[in-house]
Amino acid sequence: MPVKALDDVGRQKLMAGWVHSHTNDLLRYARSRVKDEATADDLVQLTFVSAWQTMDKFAEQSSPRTWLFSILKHKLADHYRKVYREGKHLSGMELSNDEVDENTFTPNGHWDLAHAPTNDPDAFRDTDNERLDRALRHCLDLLPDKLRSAVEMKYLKERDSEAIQAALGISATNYWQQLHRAKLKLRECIQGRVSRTA
Amino acid sequence: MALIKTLELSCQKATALVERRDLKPLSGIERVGLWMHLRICGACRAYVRQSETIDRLLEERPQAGIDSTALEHRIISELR
Repeated sequence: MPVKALDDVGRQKLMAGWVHSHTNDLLRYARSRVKDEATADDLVQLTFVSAWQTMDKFAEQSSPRTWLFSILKHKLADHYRKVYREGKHLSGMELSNDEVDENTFTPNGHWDLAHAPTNDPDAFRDTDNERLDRALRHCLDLLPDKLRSAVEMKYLKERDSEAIQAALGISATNYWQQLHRAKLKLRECIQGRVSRTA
Repeated sequence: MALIKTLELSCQKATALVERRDLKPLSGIERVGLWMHLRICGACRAYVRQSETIDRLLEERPQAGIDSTALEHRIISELR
């Protein structure tokens, strides 16, 4: 039966079923992509509020799960656009914007030895996925808000970089420079963590 | 010699190109310059591998099981 044909009780039943079936997956996705759990909870809740309000537009041919995930991804993109614009720095623990950049390369653009990727042995190659993943999450949380937002947006919009640049209000050059800086910071931070007790 | 100079890249520039080629294709000169640089620079070759690993981890980000019962109740009470 199309959603439109349902009465209020029928709609509530249908939506409650979706909440029970999909909240866990949506929440796991959201929690792995934002810094704190409360924000992830709120984004999932907002997802269902939007779904509830636009239930008539839900096309029967797409699965509720796909539909809900696409709403959640929009909420995450909105969240990161806002974080980017505000550029807020919540804790003094974060790496500053320029700290790594100034030291990573020598003035003529070669790796500074203390910041260079180690090639042999390559700490990444000798570390299992689970440990790398833990290091990544830790290091993502240390990124300055603007860089974190640029990185997260890249993986939310299925790599439509023009849409991301428009959403963040930055030029193409600025966007990939930020991704480069973010990657340099993440790489160095992960290498430091996995090398420490390896 | 002038051509070699045009193609010569610093590590900073080379790693920037590695990130940019993910967003849009590099020019012919940039591609050749990057190829030449990677042939002689072990640190930048390691950067390329590690950067790809980070990309893969960013896409996957598996999440351990969590209990979402409380949130489910909260959402359902909001929808009424």
